[in-house]
Order: sequence, then structure tokens, then C-alpha cells
Amino acid sequence: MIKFFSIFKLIIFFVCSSAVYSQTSLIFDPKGSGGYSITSFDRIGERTIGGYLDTEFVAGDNKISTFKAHRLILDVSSQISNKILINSEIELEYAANTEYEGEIKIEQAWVDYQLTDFLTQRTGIIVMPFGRVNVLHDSDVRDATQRPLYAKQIVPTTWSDVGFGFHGNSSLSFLDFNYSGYIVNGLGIHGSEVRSNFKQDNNGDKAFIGRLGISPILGLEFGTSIYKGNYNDAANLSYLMVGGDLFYKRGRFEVVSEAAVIRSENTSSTDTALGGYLEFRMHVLQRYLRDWMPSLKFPVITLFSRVGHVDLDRRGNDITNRVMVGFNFRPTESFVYKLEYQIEDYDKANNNSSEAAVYASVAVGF
Amino acid sequence: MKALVFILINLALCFSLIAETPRYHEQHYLTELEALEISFSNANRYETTGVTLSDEQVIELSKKLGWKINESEFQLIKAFAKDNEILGYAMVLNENGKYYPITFLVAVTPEFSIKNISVMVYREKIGSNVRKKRFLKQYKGKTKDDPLMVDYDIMGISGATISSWSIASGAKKALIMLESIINDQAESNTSI
Repeated sequence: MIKFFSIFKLIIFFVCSSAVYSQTSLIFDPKGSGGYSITSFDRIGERTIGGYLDTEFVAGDNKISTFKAHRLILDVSSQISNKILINSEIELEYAANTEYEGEIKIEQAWVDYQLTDFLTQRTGIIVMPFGRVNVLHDSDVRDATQRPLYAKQIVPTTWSDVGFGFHGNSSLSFLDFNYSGYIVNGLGIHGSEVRSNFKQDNNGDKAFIGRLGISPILGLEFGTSIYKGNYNDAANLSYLMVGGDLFYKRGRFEVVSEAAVIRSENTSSTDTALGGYLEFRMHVLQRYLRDWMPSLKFPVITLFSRVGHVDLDRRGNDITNRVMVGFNFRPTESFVYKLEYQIEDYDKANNNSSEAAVYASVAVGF
Repeated sequence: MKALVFILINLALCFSLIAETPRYHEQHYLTELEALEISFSNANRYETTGVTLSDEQVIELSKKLGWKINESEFQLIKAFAKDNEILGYAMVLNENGKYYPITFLVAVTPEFSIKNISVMVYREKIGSNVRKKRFLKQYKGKTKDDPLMVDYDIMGISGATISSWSIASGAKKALIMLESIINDQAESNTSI
């Protein structure tokens, strides 16, 4: 009996090996123009390259007017089977010129294995599903040049981390819902900064992040997000973020809002920061634009306004308020000209002033 | 027991290695008959007629629509009740999505308002939420005089804007074409 199973195991082993070999024989074949090497011609999957780029103009109080070659983003994606998707986002900021604050970074690089619509497993460098703007941050998708104040100082977009988790969506009767949940290295103290580290967790204590979105009707979604982890090397000081977001669309009108509270422990106390924003949008003149510019696909002008509030120290005095109005013109969905006027008001221990500025940009997705 | 587990693991490994790689992600949701039965639940029979438009008709319909119609031939479907009362009309469209066509049926009432839209075949990797009732039900009652524009009177689906536009523009096309052709047929029957 044992001998039978040993032979059977051997047969199974060879069957599997031949299956593996037949899939990878191209890679290990020393013949051909690539020789004994692995090239992208040896890789399987439907591959696409896309991305977006934006160019900005800024002028205002205490600012030297300038053009900014802010971002060139390359998305490289591949669907290697109908259940397995790879996606990556490489960001080059300010022409990647490190002498002038340029940088190259990988914002995301993950693989999805879709078991069902409700359960897809994701591993890699993942954009953190906290709120809306951190995930939907692409310049050609956003209506305004400036991200909300909240997105700089409360949820530091674009926030990514390395880890493992699941996401999915489903429907219960009239209700659509979606979720994401990941275990990640977490925010940690690295040098003088609190940030994610894609190479080495600073404390071995993993963090959890998740978002649940519920859509009771088309055009309305409520979301709630949470992040919890210990951030210091000793892993005994916690960092908790809880947030909510809303998206509502009716006809030509849209409302978007997010808010979050952060509680971070330090050795003697707990610091609390909070912030949020409320944004209104209205799409106008679609019918006239279509008549005037029949060669364009779906042209539209969008008017928008946003108010934002950030309080970085609930016990102290570190408040910034921001009001912004503007409009954009999209000749087509992924190409946009934007113009906005912004006033930022400070209520801080060493600064009670206001600053006004004009921001303009052109962004295109491809 | 150990051997059984080993065999099962190896069998699973074998199957996982031979994963399919289809060219695109064609999802067949409904046949034409199923889509018609959903649209006209009281129908006793359907009559399909081939219609060929003249160049002048194509130009005139393109003007009414606001963009060029590329097809000059299509199938006009009439739905009849038991007593031969006309329940409505329908046509199947293949409108371009982001990369591949979306096949859907537009059914209208005898008064030429949308009765139902059913997505039959979806070929894109993403955006298939356009087939859901919560998106399609907003078309019910729309006529050719409605704008049928996303972010105007039609709410698009996030992540499926182009597909949303494809359905909206297809619905507009179907409304204009069906009303025009049925009225032309009625006029030529009257004059005879």
C-alpha cells in the first residue's frame, strides 16, 4: 500500500511538473533572440500602459507665480487571466529632478485574485482605502487643481502601504455595498517623519485599515473608514483614524464631503486632530457645448466650490480654514482645464493671517 | 490521511496552473428573447422585420440625433398581445463602449417612451454595473425630447462613465429611429 502511494505521489509530481514546465518552458528556453533570459515577451497577460499628467500654474499672496510640471503618472496593468489583475502606478513629480524637489515613487503595485465579486484578494503596495480622495486622487478625475486641505493634513494623500487583504462588492435587495480591508505595515516613525515603510516595519506590529461603502440608491454613497495601528518602535503608542464620507449626485448636481478624527497617543497624553471638507459641483451647458462643438465627445463645464477645515491640535491653536471657488472645462472626459480661487485663513499660535491664491491646471488621463 | 491530503493539494495545483486566458470578458446576461420577455411580459408573439434606411433617411435621422448614424440596416421588433394589440416596439443595439460594443435591447411603448432597457452582452473588463436595474430604471418613461445625457438627466455610474454614455446615446438613437420608422410606415400604409 505504501509502495502504491509512493508511486502515485511520483506520478502526481511529474504531472504537476509537466504542467508547470509547459507554462514556463518559454522562460527557461535558452533558444531565441532573448537567449537564456526573461523578457517581457515571455510574460503572459493582456497588458496596457496608461496614466495621467498635469501641469499647474500658481499665483497669489506670498507666492512667486510659477508653472509647475507637477506629475507624470504611468499606470502599468496586466490581466494575466480573467481572475488575476496586476496594477501599478509609478509617479514622477516635478520631472523627477531630485535637485528641485522632484521624486520618483511607486504609489501602488498590487495583484488582485478575484475569487468572486464579493471576495477579491489583494497583495502589494496598496493605496489606503480611507475616505474617497485618497483613492480617487488622479488629476484628470478631480475637478479642482488643489486637493482638499483635509487631504494634505489629515489623510496625507496619496497614502499607500504594503500589505495583504480583501475587497469586494455586493447587493442586498436595493442596497449596493462595497468594502476593503487590509493588514499593512502601518504608519511608523522613520527618522523625523511618521509614514509608511515599504521595506521594513519599524515595530513588527501590523495595522488594520478598512472602508465600508453603502449605496442605498444610484447616486448616493455613504462610507466609513478606520485605521488602527501602533506607530512607535516599542509598539505601545496607538494611532487611530476614524472617518466618514458622502457622495451624492442628482442630475447635474453633486455633493462630496469627508471628515475624519485622528487620535494619536504619545508618552504623556493623547493628541486629537480633526478635519473635513464639503464640496459642491454643478455640470452646466452640456447641450450647448455639444451643439457648438460637435466634434467633441461629452464636453462639459463644471462649477465647483469647497470649504475645508483642519484642526491639528484640539487642545491648542492650530486651525486652518479654506474656501475655494472655481470651474473647469472638459472637452472630453479625461482632459480638463481647471481654474480656481482660494482663500486660506490661519488661526494658529504664530499666524493669524489669510492668504489668497489662484490655481490653474491642465490635466489629462491617457 | 496524509497521502490523501497530498493528492488533493497536487490536484488543486494542477488545476490552478491551467487557468483560462480569454481574449476579452464577454458576459452574456440575456438572449434577445429573454430581453423581450422582460420588456413585454404580456406579449403573445413578436414580429421581426428587417429595415433598410435610405441615404436620405440616414442623413435626416443623424440630424435629429445630433451625430452620425453609421448603420442603415437593423431589425425592428414588434410585440403583440393575444388580441393582436400592439404592445410596443424594440430594437437591439451594439453601441461602442470603451473598447468593445455593448449589446442591449431598447423597448418602447406604442407612444414611443422607453418601457425597458436590457443589457444582453457586456464585453468590457469593468463597468458592467450599467446592466443593473438601479441604473437602467432611470430611462423608463424617457422620450426623444429628453436630453438623455449623463450628468444631466441620466446619472452615470462611477467607473463606467463611457458605458453609461453608450447606453444613453443608444437609447436616444433607438427612440428617434423607432418613432421615425414606425411613423413612416404608418404614413405609407395610410396613403395606400
